Amino acid sequence: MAEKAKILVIDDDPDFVMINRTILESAGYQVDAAQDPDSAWLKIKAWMPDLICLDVMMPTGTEGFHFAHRIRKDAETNHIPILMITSIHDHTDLRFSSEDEDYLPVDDFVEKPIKKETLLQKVETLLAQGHDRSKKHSKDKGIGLKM
Amino acid sequence: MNQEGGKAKILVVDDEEIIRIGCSRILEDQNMWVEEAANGRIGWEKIQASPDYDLVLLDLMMPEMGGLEVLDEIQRIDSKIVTIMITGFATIETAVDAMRKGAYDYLPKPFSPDELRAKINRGLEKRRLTMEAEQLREERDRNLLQLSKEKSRTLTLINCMSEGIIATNRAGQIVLINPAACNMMRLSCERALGATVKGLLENPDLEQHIAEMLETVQRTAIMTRKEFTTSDKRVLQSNTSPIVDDQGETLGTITALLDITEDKKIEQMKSDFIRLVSHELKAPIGAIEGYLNLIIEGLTAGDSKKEREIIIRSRDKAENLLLLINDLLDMSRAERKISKTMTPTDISAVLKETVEFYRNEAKSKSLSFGLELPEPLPPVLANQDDLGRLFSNLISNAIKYTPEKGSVQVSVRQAEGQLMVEITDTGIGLSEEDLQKIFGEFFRAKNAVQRKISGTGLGLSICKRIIEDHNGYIQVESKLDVGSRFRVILPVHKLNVN
Repeated sequence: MAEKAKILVIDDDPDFVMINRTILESAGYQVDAAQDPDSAWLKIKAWMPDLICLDVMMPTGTEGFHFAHRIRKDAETNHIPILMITSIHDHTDLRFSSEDEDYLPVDDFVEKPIKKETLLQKVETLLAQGHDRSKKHSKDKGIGLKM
Repeated sequence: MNQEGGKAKILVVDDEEIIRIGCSRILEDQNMWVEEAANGRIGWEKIQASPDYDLVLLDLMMPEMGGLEVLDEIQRIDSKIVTIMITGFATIETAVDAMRKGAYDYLPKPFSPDELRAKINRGLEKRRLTMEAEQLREERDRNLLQLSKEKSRTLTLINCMSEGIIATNRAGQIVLINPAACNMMRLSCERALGATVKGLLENPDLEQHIAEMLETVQRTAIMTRKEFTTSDKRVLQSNTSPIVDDQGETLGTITALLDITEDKKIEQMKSDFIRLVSHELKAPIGAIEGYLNLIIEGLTAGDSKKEREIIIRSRDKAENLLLLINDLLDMSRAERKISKTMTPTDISAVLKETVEFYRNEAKSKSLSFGLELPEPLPPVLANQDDLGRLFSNLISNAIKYTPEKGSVQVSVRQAEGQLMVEITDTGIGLSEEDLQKIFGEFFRAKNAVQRKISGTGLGLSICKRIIEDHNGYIQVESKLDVGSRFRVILPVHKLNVN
């Protein structure tokens, strides 16, 4: 792991991008942000972040889920830990359609509004795990939230 | 009897004067009303003239018209008139024949006053019983008629009800079902009547509900309510009670069915809306909280430019929240239709005022901003506040979504009892996909969000409600990056000219 881990924040809400970016930068991380799946994908491929903070609602409800699957299915990116950011308890009746997996392939999740301590603690843990995982070159062992 | 004072009315028909006089005297002594006829023809004429004799004393052998002939006529006209034949010895057989034809009795000549009195009294008794029986029969017929009317009234009532009614007997067979119930259960009434509930309703929930009620051993009246969904996704409410006799024996059930599909839909819409509103309220507050925490935790220390940006953003969020709450209030106001006063309103005054209000804003964006108003315009029946809110929303939207140096034009046209207000802009426009959704609550067009143009997503849905309240409609034409035209069509108020 490099001295300064690279974190990509993907959220269509500019306020949360700014808040998360400020928190993460204050903890010494390199942060970049994307507001939609397409530009996020380009940034992931070009920049290869060590961790992805992904908003679940971006922007039409299910795109966050599909995007998580996309990251997991690509050999180049499937090792990158994903921290799902969600206000999911508001939307318990959302149906998550994923073609071949009935779980959300993320490593952890954090609910909005985000507390600084929670965010930093989760980021730190995931980065440590991600480091191990990429070393072992093992398959995804995400916690897989059952939906 | 027929005569006033209860006197029996007797007609004596005999060609022998001595018998007529004798009978009259004896019977009048009995307090009877007696009339005489000297032969059959006269007797028959009297009966025809007033067929209210209780009893006719009729001689068998008479000139002009014989007793049997008169008897036939009496039977034809009113068989309740009691006829007693007066006969000589030689005519006993004929008298028997007369009785076969409907005579009540016969009195052989010569007869004593006692014999006459006895026969007459018996005859009058028969008459009384006949009349009483007749009266009772009439009464019964009247009651039956009333009963059947009552029954048909109740049946009509049940058949007219919009609630479905199903009555079953103890065996669970349908003994009564109204058209509403047949319709709700998608049954033919002919097929349903007499059929067993089980397996017929194709709805296990309702069948079970009725079965449960049949099995209850409750002596007091109970009613249970259940909801179930039909195979075609309608929600029905069934209210079922057992019918219990004096001994507490269950005789059957009555079920009232109510289609509550629409209620459920409204309930769902309401809760969806509340969830949506909560989310819309929560997001900006969450953002403000997050921004404040950044400052409190000192994460922006030393970066005054960033701090200022955060503060401005928080303020914008708070402002937007306030707009949202105002829009929500407007919306609930638009829903309260009853309290609204509608008056004939001059639309040009409202438009002039609104355009004037937004002139500075348009100027600051260097927009070409104009109002084209052919005058005089006929009035529309409207709520003034609502009209102001409507045009404010549409004009401020046009200004908001039109880039600098663009154009926003408001114009009014009049055609066929309608006023058309057009607000045309050279703004960012709407994609075809977004165009379908713009009147939905909280909908924001993609390009508006991308350009960070703030809005609550409620303005147009408020406009739509207001326009519908005024019996008008709204049309939109739009092209992405070219502009939009919103056309409001309102009916002209027809003055009552006599």
